[in-house]
Amino acid sequence: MVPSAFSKGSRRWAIFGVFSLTFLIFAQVSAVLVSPPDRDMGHLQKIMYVHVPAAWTTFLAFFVVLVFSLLVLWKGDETHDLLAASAAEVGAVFNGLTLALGMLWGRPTWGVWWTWDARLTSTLVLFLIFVGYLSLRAFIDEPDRRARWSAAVGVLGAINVPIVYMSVKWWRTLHQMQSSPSTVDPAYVYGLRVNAFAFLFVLIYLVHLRYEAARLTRAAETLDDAVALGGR
Amino acid sequence: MPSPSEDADMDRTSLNFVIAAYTVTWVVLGAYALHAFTARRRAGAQYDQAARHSPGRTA
Repeated sequence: MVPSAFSKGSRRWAIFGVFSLTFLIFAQVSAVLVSPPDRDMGHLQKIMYVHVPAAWTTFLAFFVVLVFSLLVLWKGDETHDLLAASAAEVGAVFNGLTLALGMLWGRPTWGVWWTWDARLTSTLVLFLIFVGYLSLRAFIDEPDRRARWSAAVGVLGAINVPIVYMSVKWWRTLHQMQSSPSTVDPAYVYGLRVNAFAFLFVLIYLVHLRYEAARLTRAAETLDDAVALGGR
Repeated sequence: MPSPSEDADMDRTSLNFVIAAYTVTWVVLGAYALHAFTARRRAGAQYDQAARHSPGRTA
């Protein structure tokens, strides 16, 4: 039987999940339909509505990892560790998506799928750090040690986020300047904003799902340990 | 200046990349959401099983 702490609010989360999915569909369809083709890029500009929000969502997820990793190092609370791990996994998915979408945008605009440009390289490094973070967690069995080590990697990885963000200003890059409502044409602001919110909702829902799974697994392991100790 | 047929070709190529980008987005997010749902369900089943064998169970 699942304790009330796990089942409580699950209906509300299910509603939020359906809302997030519906909002994502609405955001993408409306953004694609409303925005006019770009003067230089034509229809290719519409990739911005998935690529840029995916990048922002990645940054946000790794900021969550940073906050909870610092809390783990400070307080050693398991809840913070599980939240950091959940955000890291979802963040890595969005990071991989950002890279894939960037390649799909880069090929027709720059003529290459990939170049060792500062923005692309630092984003790839960020992705590899968090893949390493997840691998590290898979290799360490002891929960306290796993929490502390992965928190240290989580903090170091998150430090890379401002480097990725500022890379287009600090170095000469092929990548354009940061896309934000203040740097894009007003015609494209709606699509960017609505998709940013849609990705944010999806991020929250996915982190919740992963956190719940991790918490239930830990609770089951604790019960198994109690049974093993009781049987001795 | 590009001819109308070259323009149409460019438009078609651009559109293909846009379609690919949105397809990749939905495939990646959909696959990951499915993975997250399955993991959540499996964890719930694992917890239920552990709770049934627990000495202090109330269920």
